[in-house]
Amino acid sequence: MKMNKRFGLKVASVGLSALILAGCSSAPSTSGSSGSGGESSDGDGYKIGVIEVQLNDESTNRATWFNDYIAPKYNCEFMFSETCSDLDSCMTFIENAAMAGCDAIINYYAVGSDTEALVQLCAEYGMVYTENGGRNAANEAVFTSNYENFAGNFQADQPATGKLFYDYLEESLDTSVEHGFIVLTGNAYQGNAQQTEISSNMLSALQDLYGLTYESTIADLVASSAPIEATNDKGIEIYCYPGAYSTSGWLEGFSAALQTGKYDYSLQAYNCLSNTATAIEEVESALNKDITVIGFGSFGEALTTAMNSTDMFGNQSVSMSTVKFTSLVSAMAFSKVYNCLTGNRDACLDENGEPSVLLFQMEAVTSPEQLAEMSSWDTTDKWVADYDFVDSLLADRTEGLTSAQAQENIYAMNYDAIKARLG
Amino acid sequence: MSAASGMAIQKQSPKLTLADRIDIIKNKRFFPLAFPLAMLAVLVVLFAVLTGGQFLQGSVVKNIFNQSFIVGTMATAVAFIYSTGNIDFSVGNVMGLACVFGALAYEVTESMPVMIAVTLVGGIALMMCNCTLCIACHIKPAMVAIVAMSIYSALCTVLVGADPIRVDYQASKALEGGFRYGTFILYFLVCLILYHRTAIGRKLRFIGGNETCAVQTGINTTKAQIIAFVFAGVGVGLAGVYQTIRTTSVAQTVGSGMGMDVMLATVLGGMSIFGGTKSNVYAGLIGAITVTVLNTGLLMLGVSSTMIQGVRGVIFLLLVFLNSERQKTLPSRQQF
Repeated sequence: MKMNKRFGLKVASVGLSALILAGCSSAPSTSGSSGSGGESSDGDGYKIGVIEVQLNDESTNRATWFNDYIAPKYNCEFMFSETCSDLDSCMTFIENAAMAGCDAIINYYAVGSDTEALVQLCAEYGMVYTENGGRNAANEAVFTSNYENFAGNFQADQPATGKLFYDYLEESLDTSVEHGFIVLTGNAYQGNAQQTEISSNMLSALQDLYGLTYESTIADLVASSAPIEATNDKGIEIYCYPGAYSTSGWLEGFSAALQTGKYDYSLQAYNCLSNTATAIEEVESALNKDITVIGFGSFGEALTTAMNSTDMFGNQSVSMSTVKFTSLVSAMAFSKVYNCLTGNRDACLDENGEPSVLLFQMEAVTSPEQLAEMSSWDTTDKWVADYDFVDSLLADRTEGLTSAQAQENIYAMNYDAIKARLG
Repeated sequence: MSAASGMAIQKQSPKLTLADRIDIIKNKRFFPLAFPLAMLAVLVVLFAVLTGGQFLQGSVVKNIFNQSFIVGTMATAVAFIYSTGNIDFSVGNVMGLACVFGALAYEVTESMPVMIAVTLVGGIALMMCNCTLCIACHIKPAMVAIVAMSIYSALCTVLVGADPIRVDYQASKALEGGFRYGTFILYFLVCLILYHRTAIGRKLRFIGGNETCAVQTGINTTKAQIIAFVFAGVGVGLAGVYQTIRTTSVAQTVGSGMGMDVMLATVLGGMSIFGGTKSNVYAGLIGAITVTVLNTGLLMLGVSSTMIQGVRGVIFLLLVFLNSERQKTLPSRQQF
């Protein structure tokens, strides 16, 4: 046993050394640095910390774009966090990033009303800060308090995203046939703006299409933290089911609701397509009932599988979803911090002199062919946000750039424009 | 004849192998403290060398302490419970709910002293709830913890709602200096003395080592359990105060998952979560600092986040491996 322990010790020591060496040597390849990648670099060298909320296809794609495409061209280095799921972990990463010499923080974890605390923390270390989020009553103070290190935020155009779902339901729903709807409102009850907009638009679409009146307001239904029947005067079965799949018992509750046989539409305001797929398939099989799935999604294996598979009735497993181009969103975030770091903070301010929020529009996808086409665009060899586009958001490369002009440039990068360039 | 050969055997000087010598060192009383500290020192020196001395800058050291405070305080607190051979991993949720109580009190009174008092009392009261369930219903603390985690988490969600409860930033930052260091040192010293220099600590360790024997020697295990939970409650409440003044807001997810961090810190610090005679009250703090040193050091070296998880995992395994006794018999509380 002693021999075993000593042997184990040696193996562990060798393994540890190898890992540390691998980790250290991997740094230049995972964190972009000046001159690598064969691109000529220009601009001052900056180190930027990126707070990731989850590790998935999107975050991997984002890291590739930042490290392999942006870093060499703009002479920047990027440092990525582990998964940060609360304010404390964000603060810890910011502190560690400061120790590691970062000049700015891009935060993909929307902390909402705690934005100010992170801006203040970054200010203590002299770092610029931007966040994937909007401007609302909870974080209004950070926009009006003139923090020199706050570059403003970036996020999806939430009403436009919600409208995609409204429009699709309007186009595809046959109201002459009896339907029941389960609406997965996600974290809307916690104030998640995107999930609130999508849930609200879904309920509004049903209201308008059936000409019904809810007993409660749509705002109340969406904000409910407990499952609630959206009782209405037309007797349409609509069930709002909040929460996330990571919550204990959530999936079981969703499955139980479907097993009542009342619902044949699953309207999902947050990205849980792969998590609900099995439950839906089981109920379809058990009740011999076709369930149509419309839900928020993102590029990746989950959506590709869902779009390319059919249920027992021969229909697409997911009828409609939404996607965004990772590099487009990343370009917005990068432009925010880069403009501040290069002394062009004015380009991050709106007409009132307050930090602006840059918006991007998501795209609807309804077929596997369309998904395949769009998936092929935002990849290593042909990024949606190429150097020309990134330059159009940077004040030191686009003379007289304002935030409004940057916003126009972002909106111009839509499906048609991308198809014309990359299609 | 046989007597002569027996004499000959006794005259032979004992030959100790390296493994025997290591075993002797490991059985020394100082070893449980010295080993984790030595490992921590090795890591600090390693990172200091690899970062060209940057790792020893004042701001980095301060940063490491700041990040270790909360888990370190909680780990110090739960040492009282772990010593008795019981596990309570609901401490993260207890801290979270205590934070919510404190933040709500601040919302009403806008007084930091009130926030601190309510958080502290909340921590103690909630730990006493756990204790009461254990004693009154004769349920193991681990089982109570499972239920308590769900209840406290649900209460946090209901009480906080969509938006976190804010606490004044400037007032919070003012408390991060002297107040935080002072209260922590005071609490830690009190725990150290109580645990290692009074009958309270000895009884708790005795119960963890062999509860039946402890009962037969006249130790009141119920009373000891209450004492353990009260001291744990004070520490958890204090950690709640530190959490609130660090983040200056309390969200509904506060403290969730922290119970596991506390357990990890305790094990890394060289203490068995199954208690026993070798338990100590400082293991959690050392473990918490070790975790933070690793995270900060690896990031400063430019190790990518995905690699950090792997490197950290291997180092944790190695530390636990080196600091643990392999079982020669069936598991008991005295062994890992």
